[in-house]
Amino acid sequence: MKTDVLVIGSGAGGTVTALTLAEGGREVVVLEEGARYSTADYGRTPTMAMGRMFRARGMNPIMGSVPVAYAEGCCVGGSTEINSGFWSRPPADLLAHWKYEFNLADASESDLIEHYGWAERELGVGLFGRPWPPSTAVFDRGLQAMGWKGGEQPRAAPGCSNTNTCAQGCPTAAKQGMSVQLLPRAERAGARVLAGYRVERLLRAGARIRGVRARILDGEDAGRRVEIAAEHVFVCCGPTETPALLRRSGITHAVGNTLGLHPYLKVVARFPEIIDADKSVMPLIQVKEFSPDVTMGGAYFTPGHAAVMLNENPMEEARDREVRRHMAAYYVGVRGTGRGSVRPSWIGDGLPRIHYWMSREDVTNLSRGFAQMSRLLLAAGAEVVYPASFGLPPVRSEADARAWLERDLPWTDLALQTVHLFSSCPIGERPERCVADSFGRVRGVTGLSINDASMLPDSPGVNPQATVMAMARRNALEFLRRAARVVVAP
Amino acid sequence: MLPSRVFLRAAIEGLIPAHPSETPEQRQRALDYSAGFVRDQVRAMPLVLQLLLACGVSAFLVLTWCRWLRGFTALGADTRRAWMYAWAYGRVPLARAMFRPVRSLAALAYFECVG
Repeated sequence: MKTDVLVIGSGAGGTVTALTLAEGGREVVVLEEGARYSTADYGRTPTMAMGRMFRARGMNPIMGSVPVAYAEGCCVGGSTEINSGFWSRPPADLLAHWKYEFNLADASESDLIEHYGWAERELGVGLFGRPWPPSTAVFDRGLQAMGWKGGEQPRAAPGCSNTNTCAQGCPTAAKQGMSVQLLPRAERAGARVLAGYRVERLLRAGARIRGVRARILDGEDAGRRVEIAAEHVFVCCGPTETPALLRRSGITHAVGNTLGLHPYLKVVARFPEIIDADKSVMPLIQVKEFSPDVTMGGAYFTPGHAAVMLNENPMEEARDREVRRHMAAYYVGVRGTGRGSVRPSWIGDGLPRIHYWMSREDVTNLSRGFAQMSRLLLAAGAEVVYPASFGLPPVRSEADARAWLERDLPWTDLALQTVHLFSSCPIGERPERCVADSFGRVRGVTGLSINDASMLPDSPGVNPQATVMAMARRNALEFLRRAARVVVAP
Repeated sequence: MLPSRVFLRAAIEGLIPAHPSETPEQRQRALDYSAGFVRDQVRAMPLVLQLLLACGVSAFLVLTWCRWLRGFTALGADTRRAWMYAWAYGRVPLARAMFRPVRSLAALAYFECVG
């Protein structure tokens, strides 16, 4: 098989790349490791979704100073199929910091605003538009009582109908995963999407990338290896698979050395009134008072997820369905100032080895964040706040909460999670630390770009999807512009 | 190398005691489902972690024999529960870390079943 441009991965970065290039007249093939599902397959139980749509069934934790549970999508649409659709532009000063720190060209707020706007229009980003469900309303009550900055966070989910199945794929297609509109549009523009192809390595001819070798995972040809030649390859496999693929292919300079993430600590609050958090979308409010170091928001709540969070400190009352009707879950997230690494598997299980070393600052921020979150929830009327971390007592009073302003949570038993990984292959004009230039072109080879969350130079401090889509579009358009210049050159 | 389904079912039975709000049929179904789910999930872990878990479970089973002169699955329900809790929620961080994935996955699947 031969194509003009090969895009590996169909998540936020890969889909935007494929769409932009296909609409720009290029012949595009998209290879996706996971399967393709329709909305009829979505909205099943969380355990079924883990088995079908999550990479390694969600079982490749990040090891290091504190293990962090990590989930990413492995299906057509990537993680956009299983996220909650929250949408955040990063603050302008963060983009200015990236320019200063990484000498990142053409990525200021004014450079990217057009691309953020494009993505927001395409995905119908907006507010809920209807009365908030109780889990959101009580959270807002706490926010108002504290007088802190924050409010409803926009989502890429116009017409969300409260099925509470964001993490299992939205069965109503309200949430704009990439498979809903953008990828089909890329296909209508001529892109071919091949699902069930795992790219094993990039093929080189000297310093030029000439294609990929992939293994077919499903169907009659399962197990067969194919080579696909391409004039240019965009690697958009996500923050763990992109560095692993580059390293497997012999591209190692600065690759996978600077992984960043947003660690999250979950809490469950019990209120006097009935919340029925499992019957509505997760709480929509985000607290910005302490951002970018600490953010707070709503977490996914089902009987199973509630049990996991409460199970850190087993409590009889968690078994009682009637009690659970009064509960909702929230998170404290920190910017992530530690550093991690990604390396390909060396024992044949195909799973990259992911490590992250939490910084003391991260733990301190988590502790302060937990204290402030507890204060907010108590102010909202919560009777008790349960931290999802072993050995920590429930918080029942302002004094209990304030205690965590003075001391750090114990490292050893922190039960942390994340869905935001990034920066494993940073872009910029500082070759000693940047895998690729400001537009994602990988250094040391030709015909190869990266265009996913791995390229973000540093922690965005907010949900990275908006920034990934904006920068992916910017990079793809730059690719088209350069190609056009080459064609018309005498 | 992987913990057997029988062991996992017995472990989950110890970790999640019966509750009056559940019928025996519901409990059996939830135990079966969660044991299968945990086993599938463990199988998806990186090989290094699978190996570590297998070593930990082997140590647990050997110590169970030394302590009770019986296999884990042959222990009475109360003993099994107390023994599981001593490991999964006890004072030894390594033992807690070993059982954390099992107890978290089991809780997710079990309560998904019983609601």
